[in-house]
Amino acid sequence: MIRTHKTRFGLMEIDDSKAIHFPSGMIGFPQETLFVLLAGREGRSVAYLQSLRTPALAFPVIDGGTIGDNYPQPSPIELAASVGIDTIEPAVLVVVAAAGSPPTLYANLLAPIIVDAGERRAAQIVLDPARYSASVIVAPAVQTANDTTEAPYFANMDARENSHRPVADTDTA
Amino acid sequence: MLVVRRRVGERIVVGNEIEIVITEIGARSVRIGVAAPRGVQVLRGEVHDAVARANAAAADAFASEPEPSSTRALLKEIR
Repeated sequence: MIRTHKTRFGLMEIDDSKAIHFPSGMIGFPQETLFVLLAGREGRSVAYLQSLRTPALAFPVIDGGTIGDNYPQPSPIELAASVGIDTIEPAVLVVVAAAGSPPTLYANLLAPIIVDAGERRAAQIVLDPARYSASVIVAPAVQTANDTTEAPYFANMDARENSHRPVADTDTA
Repeated sequence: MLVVRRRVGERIVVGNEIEIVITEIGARSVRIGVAAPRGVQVLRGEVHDAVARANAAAADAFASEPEPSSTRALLKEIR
């Protein structure tokens, strides 16, 4: 069922069947158990995990596959199994944050998000702190002048198929 | 907060499914074992807090979203 939700990016039409359930919430946000993955404009690396409970809350994420072939260790399948998510093809998302001046992009490699796209279940799982950091520089960021005011074009993104299906025409460009 | 005195080998049970066992007591630290069901992550407090801070910072900071092209270029470099 497609319904209108308040989001960090304004009102958006979101297909409830695309919601992803985090039974334990995000770490530090235990009450946040329902998200939807929103992709930015075509070609953008950063997507957003938008809370369906708290409109102002969205976590920027990148595809964990872009970090490298050996990330994460243990394997996503093993990680998923460790938290009771049984899937043969989990997706991996990594939370990123832009900070500093000029802005730099930091990735939280310590705690990736493992997603079972089929069952729409996910968990943020903490890896070995001796091997991974919660704040790893992955790119110097270039702040765009209108990022905070522009109403971006978003689409529900299926974590499994990585498809871009427009659901709301909020593009003002 | 419940504060109890325990000896080595004694347990604390949280709910029906989580057990905490004192395995060793040293001069400045204790070693404990935690048994929890699958799906319940057991984390050191400081690690939990570091991830929680990183999550909060990420949610607060993305107004300065990076230029995607530079992101992709650097992601390639760290592969």
